[in-house]
Amino acid sequence: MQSSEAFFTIQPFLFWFLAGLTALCALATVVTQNIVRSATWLLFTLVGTSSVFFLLGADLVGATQLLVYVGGTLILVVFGVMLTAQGPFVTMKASGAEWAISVVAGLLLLGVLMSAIISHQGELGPPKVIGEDVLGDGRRIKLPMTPDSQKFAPERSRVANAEEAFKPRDPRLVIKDFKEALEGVPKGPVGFGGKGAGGKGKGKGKEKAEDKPKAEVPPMPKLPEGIDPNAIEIGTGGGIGSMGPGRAEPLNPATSAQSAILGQGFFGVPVGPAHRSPNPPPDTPAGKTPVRRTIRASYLLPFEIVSVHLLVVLIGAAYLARAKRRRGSVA
Amino acid sequence: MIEIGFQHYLFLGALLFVCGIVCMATKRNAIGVLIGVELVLNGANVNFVAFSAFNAAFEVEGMMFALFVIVLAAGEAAVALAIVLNFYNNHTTVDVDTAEELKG
Repeated sequence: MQSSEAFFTIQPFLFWFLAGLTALCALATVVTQNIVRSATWLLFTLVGTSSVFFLLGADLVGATQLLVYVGGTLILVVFGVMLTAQGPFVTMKASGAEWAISVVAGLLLLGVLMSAIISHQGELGPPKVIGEDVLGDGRRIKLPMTPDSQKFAPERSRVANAEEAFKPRDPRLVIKDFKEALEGVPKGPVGFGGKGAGGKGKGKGKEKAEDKPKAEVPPMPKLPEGIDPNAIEIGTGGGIGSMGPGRAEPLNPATSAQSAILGQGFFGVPVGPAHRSPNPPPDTPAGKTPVRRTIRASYLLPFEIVSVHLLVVLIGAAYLARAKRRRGSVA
Repeated sequence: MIEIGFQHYLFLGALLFVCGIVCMATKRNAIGVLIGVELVLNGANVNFVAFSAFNAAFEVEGMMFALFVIVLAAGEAAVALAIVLNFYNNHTTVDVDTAEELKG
């Protein structure tokens, strides 16, 4: 209680400090003429942005920003700078007229955005949803982090909400729910639903994917080729056992509720408004599950797989492009 | 001291966005343009996370889209750098003003 009060008195200072730092670094990125310095300022901008995410309570996004962005993307950029920074390219200047036009256009754009934000102040802000039952299923999802809401509705709703979010569910129910979500949707084609029938062995799965005619495109994101469905199913199954209700207790509920829910979603536990009801009907037959509900509920895992697949493909493409070029120049 | 609300985060996002736009417009180095794109994506990410923190109906979705944007930016950086390095191999320059072969 006291620590959270202290946090909300110090929060404005933290915000102004971090946001000011981020904004200054972003400005320096633009203003500096040296490309190496620009990349360095970008590094500080990204770190500042991730600290703003932490300030907003989005721990998972902040950590991912640090890992992927600062650790991966920026290294790529710095390598690009080092590979191409020779002689005149390090400090290449645009003409004064270009600068003037760009800065004027940028300021105009900034003015438009600011006026839009200010003029829609009432519509965008949180007051409509504070402590309300937004989704109509009897649960208050989140208390926005404004000092006012802390004063008027202290701790109570936040903690009650978090406790409810962490109420241990029967593990079998969770797994059943998960399987329902996986198997319920597409009946015929190889999608997430066809997995039970299609994934018999490592070789089999691939053959099946090749034999399928193109017309049968499943409504859900298709499992990328080359990823063994069995491995995924086993992996998520283990994930539920270890990441599920049992692990949730030692966490600090007030700060990590969202992140934990989201993290569970990445391991296949259905999340999202359609699954917020604490007691899902346990005996719904798989065939009768409404399509919309299951799609909405189980979209996190497909998105995760597809995005990882995309990343691997892109990096492979970059590598292939470079290797081909080198071979051509040698021959 | 003004209390920190929703708008302040949106202001920060808008500022990052505009910085990225100006960066894209004024840098002649192709990697400078890439840095501008990263700034723009970060501005969008700040908005996503702010909406997710202040709007209960957008709670999980906002964070998920932010994660999505981060992964997208990583892939985009990889491909753009491959293109830039290929361009550098062919032309021995990274000046975007000299890349005019595809002019219509």
